[in-house]
Amino acid sequence: MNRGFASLHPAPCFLYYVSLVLLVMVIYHPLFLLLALCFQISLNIMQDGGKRLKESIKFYIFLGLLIVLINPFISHRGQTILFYFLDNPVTLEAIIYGIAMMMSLLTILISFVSYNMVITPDKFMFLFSSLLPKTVFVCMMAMRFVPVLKRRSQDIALVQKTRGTDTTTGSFTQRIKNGIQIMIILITWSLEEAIITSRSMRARGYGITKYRSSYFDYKMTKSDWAVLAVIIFSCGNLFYFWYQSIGHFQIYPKVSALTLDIRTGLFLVMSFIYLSIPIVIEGAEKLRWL
Amino acid sequence: MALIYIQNLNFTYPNNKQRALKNVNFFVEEGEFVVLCGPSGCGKTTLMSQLKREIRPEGDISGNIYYRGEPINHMPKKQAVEEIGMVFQDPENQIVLDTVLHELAFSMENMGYDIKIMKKRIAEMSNFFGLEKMLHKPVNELSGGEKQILNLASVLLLQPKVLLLDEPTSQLDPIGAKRFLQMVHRLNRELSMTIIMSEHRLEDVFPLADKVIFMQKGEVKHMGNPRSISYKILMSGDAAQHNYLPSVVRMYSYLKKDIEQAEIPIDVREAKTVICNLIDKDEKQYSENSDICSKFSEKPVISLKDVCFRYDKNSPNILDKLSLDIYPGEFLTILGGNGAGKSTLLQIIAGLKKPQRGKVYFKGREMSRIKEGERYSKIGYLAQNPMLYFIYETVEDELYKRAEMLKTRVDDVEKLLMEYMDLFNLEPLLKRHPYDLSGGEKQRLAMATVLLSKPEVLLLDEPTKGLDPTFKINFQNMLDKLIKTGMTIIMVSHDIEFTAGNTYSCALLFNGEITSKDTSSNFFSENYFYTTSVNRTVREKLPKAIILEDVKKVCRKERHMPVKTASY
Repeated sequence: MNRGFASLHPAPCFLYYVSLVLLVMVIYHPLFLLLALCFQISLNIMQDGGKRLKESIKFYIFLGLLIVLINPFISHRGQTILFYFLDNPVTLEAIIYGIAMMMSLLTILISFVSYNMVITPDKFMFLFSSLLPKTVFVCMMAMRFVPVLKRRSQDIALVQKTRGTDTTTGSFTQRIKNGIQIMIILITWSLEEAIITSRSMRARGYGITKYRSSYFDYKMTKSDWAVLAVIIFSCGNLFYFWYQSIGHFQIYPKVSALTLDIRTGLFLVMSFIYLSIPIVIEGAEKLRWL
Repeated sequence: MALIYIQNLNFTYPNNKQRALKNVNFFVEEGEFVVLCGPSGCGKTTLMSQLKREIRPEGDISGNIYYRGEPINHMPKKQAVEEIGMVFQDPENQIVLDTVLHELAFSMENMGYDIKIMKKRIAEMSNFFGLEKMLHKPVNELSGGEKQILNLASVLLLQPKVLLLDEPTSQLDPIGAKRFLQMVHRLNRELSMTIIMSEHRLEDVFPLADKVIFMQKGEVKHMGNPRSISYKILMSGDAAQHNYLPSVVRMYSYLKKDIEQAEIPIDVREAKTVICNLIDKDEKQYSENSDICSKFSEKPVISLKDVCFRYDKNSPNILDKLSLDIYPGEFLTILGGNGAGKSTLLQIIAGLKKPQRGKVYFKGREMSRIKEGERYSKIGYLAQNPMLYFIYETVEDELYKRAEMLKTRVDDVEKLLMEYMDLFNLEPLLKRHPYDLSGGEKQRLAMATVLLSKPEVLLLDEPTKGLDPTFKINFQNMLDKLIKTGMTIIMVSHDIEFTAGNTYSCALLFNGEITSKDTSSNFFSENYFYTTSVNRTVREKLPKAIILEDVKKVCRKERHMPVKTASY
């Protein structure tokens, strides 16, 4: 998929996701978190109609609710005691903190769903291949081997089943034994086959030259630079605000009231700009095709 | 000046007394298509790896190899990698990286090429091979044939002058193999690329070759263009060597008394004119009983009724209301294209997979009601890759421990073990590690261990894949012996020439069902493409002749009964 946000150079996209995760972890302002959560959900819906999100959203919500429910019962910090549960105080602060944690966690989880659509392994490799060329190369080899090993182990299990080496029946210890047997075949066989792979690598000149070049190629266009500038500007500002405690929402020891002064207003405007970047890009693309 | 000149080359592997290559002498001109053939272990691969410096094995070497007049060792490293490319036998394990694009770029990245050059070459190569649509696909979604084309393309991106191909089509189905050979042929003709290829299946490469080198036990036995090497082999009088020749050549040599070198046909087109003149008999009526059921009056041993199978909820049916009866003592081959579900069908018959709908019966009992242990011992299943079977360090352990396990179920397992050790000639291999055996030896060992449980039905998945003609003939004899003991054999195969000669009946799996099941001779004689080259050659005169033996039978009859011929 190379549309909308995903069509940008991977560097601004990667920076955006990394900064987003950091920001939602440090900023507790409820409006910021709510906005972040809503925009990430909309982004997912704009990107693939929410198909991938649907697969995992139930689990995410369950996780989020778990935090909201559990936090007040294990954390007793805060001054505003609402009631006692089994002689333990349940505080308003702990409830609010739980909700904030839930929103921040959900935002992170949901942003990962869209991250996976935008930063494909290819783009990830591109970003790090100049930094960690060997690691990236090993990653790429590993990614090839995962499905290969999976298929091989299925083949072995099927054949070994005919000889009574079965991991689905028998006592627990017997099953473990049989599983190890299958692992042993898998490993010896794979090592054997790896010799062929290494021959093929040498035959194609792996390790001949000092520096391997890299085929990954993404060029920064003008619009990529522009987006990058906006991201750096807005998230830089947000970090500065956070550092200066502007738009700071105090939970412990006593929850503070939400106030709106000029500085908080500026913080909220900057938050809006920052959080809406991918939505605006996706939306602009959608408008073009209306 | 020859491009490659090999002078008195000898090579011995470490800890080995016998030389793997003995006094090898030959030269290769620029733009030549050279085919190396000979039995497995004759030194083809060793010879090729001598030409590819990066993978040359350790060992004692004497003699010289010249590349463009210079000793090959003096070549700069980078040039050696670029100018001499190699594609190996196994399509799967040569691939290093995860997606097609990464794999294509791999060799160029190793050379440190500039990104502009890489892009240009990949663009060009994708066009030539039609890879555009799969560039971003993960490699494990490709078929075997596509993988091998990818390997070829990745090597070609370095723009080699010489291409070494080590049995590149032996693991592919006939269609994938033909496509690969066509590509190689194009490279040879259009770019004048020098090609050195080793191959068992000469039927397809013979017409393409400029020079054929026949090797045996590390020595070059014969060398020449296809016609002259055919002549030399036919004249040599060694019957074992004849098996390596394409069947049209063998047919010609049988029918013609004094062989003329210039007349030897190397493909079906040539054979048709030459051979049809030699058969002066029209044997349209030559036929055997055609009704398949008439031979088997008993109840079927395996019976499938409306079997449906698919891998996921959402994937299409691989098998779709498939019904099939197999009778005791029958030798059935199931043919079909790649991914038609042949292996899946075999696994269902073996009781390893359960169909979603339909029933499988073994001797009238429903498969799923039979206990697993009994099921697997009554129906022996030999998977495509014999490596899956080996657990122990030696061949001996593999056999004896298996026999030990089966003691309670099979009474005379020791006797059986001796019998099969004899039949499959495993005695000399007992102390070896199963992984060190050759492909054919592995196959024999795996089969022996499967047979120890005394199965009534034996299922074979592509047993002749990648094996040489000598092994195939031995294998055929072994199967004949098993059939004589009353065993039922069901085989899945791509190997038309082997199937045609050996099996009693054939079935075609297409679109999830068995479209036709018939005796081999009926099955093949009605097909147009899916038939042997012998049949394609003589079908006008002898429509029922499928293999050389059929032609021999008719023509022998003719020789014995001169009167009848005269009446024509």
